[in-house]
Formats: sequence, structure tokens, C-alpha cells
Amino acid sequence: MTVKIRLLSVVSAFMMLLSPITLLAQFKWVEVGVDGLTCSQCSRSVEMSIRKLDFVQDVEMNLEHTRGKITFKPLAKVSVEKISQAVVNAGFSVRYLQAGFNFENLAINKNYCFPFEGKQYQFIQTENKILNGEVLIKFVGKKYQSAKEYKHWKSDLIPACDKLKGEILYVTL
Amino acid sequence: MKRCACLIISFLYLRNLSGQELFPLNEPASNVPKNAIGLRLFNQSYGEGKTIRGLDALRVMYGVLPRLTIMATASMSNHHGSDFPANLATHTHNGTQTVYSTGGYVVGIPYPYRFNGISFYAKYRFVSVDGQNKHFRMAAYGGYSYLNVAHDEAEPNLLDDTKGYGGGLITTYLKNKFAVSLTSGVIIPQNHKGSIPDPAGTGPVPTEVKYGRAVEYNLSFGYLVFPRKYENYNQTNWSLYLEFMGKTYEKAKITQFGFKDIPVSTPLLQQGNYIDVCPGIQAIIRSNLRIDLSVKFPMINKSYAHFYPVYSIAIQRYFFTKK
Repeated sequence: MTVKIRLLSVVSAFMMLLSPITLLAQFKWVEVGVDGLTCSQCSRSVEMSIRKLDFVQDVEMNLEHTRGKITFKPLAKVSVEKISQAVVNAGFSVRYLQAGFNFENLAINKNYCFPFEGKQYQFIQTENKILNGEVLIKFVGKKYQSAKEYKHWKSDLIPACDKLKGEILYVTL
Repeated sequence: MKRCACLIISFLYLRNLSGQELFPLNEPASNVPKNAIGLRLFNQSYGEGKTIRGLDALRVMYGVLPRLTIMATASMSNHHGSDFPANLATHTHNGTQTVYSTGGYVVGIPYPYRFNGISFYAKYRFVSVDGQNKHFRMAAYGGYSYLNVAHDEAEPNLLDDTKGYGGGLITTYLKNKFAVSLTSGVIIPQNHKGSIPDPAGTGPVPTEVKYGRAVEYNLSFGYLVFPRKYENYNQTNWSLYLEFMGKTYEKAKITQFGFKDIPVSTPLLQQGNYIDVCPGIQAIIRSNLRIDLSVKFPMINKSYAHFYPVYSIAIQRYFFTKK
């Protein structure tokens, strides 16, 4: 009995150690701004292209502001890269891509890295902060921003995470 | 002419208010979404004397890549017979000399509907400058028409009349509800080897027509009239279009009994150039089912490959595959 309790304690302690990096972050939704479209048929093409992704639960397009809000299937592995590619596949470009991300007391600083679902997320241009609850994070990079915006951020994309642990995705608040 | 100028000015004025690039007659530089299949069924018809000439076609489109679209169009029409008309070219004998000549053209000869063949087309978008509610795009296109039609005019038309190659560039600019697109390209037709009935009744006379090479220049304007403000996919989108379809082509060369380049007297076979003006209207229902209507009138000179006005109607929709 005592051995069992000890074993449980060890497992829980181990889980607690892992939790800030594996369990305390989760996508709630993604919003993608789409450039190059003005018609509802084009907007629908984008929606249909995103809906093909197996982790997508629902897509709600805002035709007037040419953006789409995407929600996900429970426990599904989300790929922002695939969302960006889906927009391109429909024949358009990504203006911005941002996400509602759930954190639990994650203390970040400049160039803070955390692994999530096989990728390394690196914060850029952020100050020391504790992230708790749903936080809006913006993806930075050629695939996630308009050409003009990317130009502005390009010089900040200096890898600080261990590339060997996975592809780096740059995010900011 | 004055009326056309007014229409152009009206369109240019409207651009400030806010177009569509889904032109009824011209292809824009944009593509079919990757892995989506588009189907377009269309009809073009015009009166020629007491005969109604018609063309019915089915086009299948596919988005191979985000930037690459391929299309195949199968068509049938009653534009031409299986042979060239009897008066296309004839000859008389003057002593030992044979004098060849072309005849005039007869209006409204009734022909049955025939399957013309299939046209293939590919378009690759190589420039995309996208912004919010706007884009500037350029695409290169090329095509080949595998047709077997006894077309008896110098002007080549790859869709339904003339076997051959074509290619060119498309430049499209779209901002808010206004779109403008310029298509410029060349047509390199292939000869048609056919025959004409021999009036002497000695059997068909083998005849070969080399059609004129052509340069095309088409300019299209589009403007989205409704909805003024997008709310949902169920709003029917109404757009107005004004397209200018221009072509310059060489004269045709006819060969009979080894005699090449029979002197042509009919304007049908001579070199020419023209610009047609084509106002159109389009409804897109539930953001997918597209219905196009347009009418073609002569503006500068005229085409001898068809009479006026030419009425076009098309219905099109996309099917999104699971891939």
C-alpha cells in the first residue's frame, strides 16, 4: 500500500514537472486574415479549403472583413502551417494568423521557448510576463503575415530554441 | 461608339465606389482552388439569315496547384458542315491554264449539329500581389485545340472552330468591387484538310485551308452591384461586366490540286481586325452557382466568323473534393 502511494506520488511529481510544457497550453481557436479576395465565392473557396483539414471542427468566415475563425476538434493536433497552406491552396494569401491559446501560469521572457505538439514556440518582442487563461498570440513569419508585415518583423526572427527539438514557430503577444 | 464611350466612363467612375473578375467571356489571372473541380456549361448563339447558329460546350476545370489550373472544353455546333462549302474555291480553264478563285459567301446555310472536338487550356499564375480586398495578378496561359471542323474563315477561333495552339498573358487588377483584366495572346492555327463537293459531280475536291495566325487583345471590366455589404453566403451576388474582345489575323491560304495560295476575294478569307463590345450580367447564387449572360456587338470593324448579336449564356459551379 505504502509502495503504491509512493509510486503515485512519484508519477504525480513527474507529471507536474512536465505539465508547464505539455499540458498547460492549448489552442482554443485560430483567426486568419485573408488577402486578395473580395467576393463571397472566393471566401467560400477559402472556407472549403480549410474545412478539409482533419483537425478543423468549424470555420466561420467574415466576408466583410475577409477573415475566418477556426475551431478545432477536441484533442486534435492543430497545424497553423496547414491552415496557412489551405488559404494559399484556395488561391489567396494570409494577411495575419493569430490564435487564442490557453495557458496556465506560464512565465515567459524575451525569446522564451516552449515545446508544443512537436514544435518549438519562440516568443519574440515580449517582456517578462506570466500568461494565464486565454491569451491572444500572433504568429510571425512569411506564411503567417502579409509581405509588408513580414518585412517589418523579419530581422527579429533569430532562433533561440533548440532546432533539433522541432521546427521553430515564432509568436508574439 | 458614343454609347460605348459612355459605358466605359461610367465603369471608371464606379470604380471609386467599390467588381468582380469572374468575367463571362475572359479568364482572369486567378485560378480554380487547388483540387477543386469546376464545371461550366455554356451556349453561344446568333442569327445568320434565317438560320440560328449555336454552340454548346461543356468545360471541366481542375485546380492542379494553387497557381495552376487546367481545363478541357468539349463543344458541338452547327457553325460548319463536314465539308467546306461548295463555293469556297473553284477553278476555270483558259486553254491550258487553270485559273483558281474563291467564291462569295452564302448566308444561313443550314448545317446539322456536329461534335467539334476538345480544347485544352492551362493557366499558371506567376505574379500575386494580394492586399486586403484587392489584388494584382499575372498569369501565363497556353492551349491546344484538337478540332475537326471545316471552318471556312481566315479568323482562327480555338474554342470551337480551329485546330491549333494559343498562348499569352493575363493581367488582372481587382480592388473592392471593381475588377479590370487584360488578356493578350497569339493563336497559331493548324491547317484543315477537307474537301469541297465538286459541282461537276466527279467526286469531292481535296482542299486545304491554312488559317491566319492571330493576335488577341481582350479587355474586361467588372463591377459588383449587389450585395452592397456582405452578410452571408446566401446573398445572391450580382455583377455587371463590359468586355472588349479584339483580334487581328492574317489572311487564309487555300490549296487545291497542289496550287497554293489561291487568290481570295471574299472578306471571310482575307486578313482583318476587329473589336467587339460585350456587356454582360452575372448572378452567383449561394456563393457557388454562377449564371452568366452576355451579348456581343461589333464596335470597330466586325468579325466574319460570326454574325451579330451573339448571345452567350453559361452556368458554372465548383465542386470541392476531399483531397
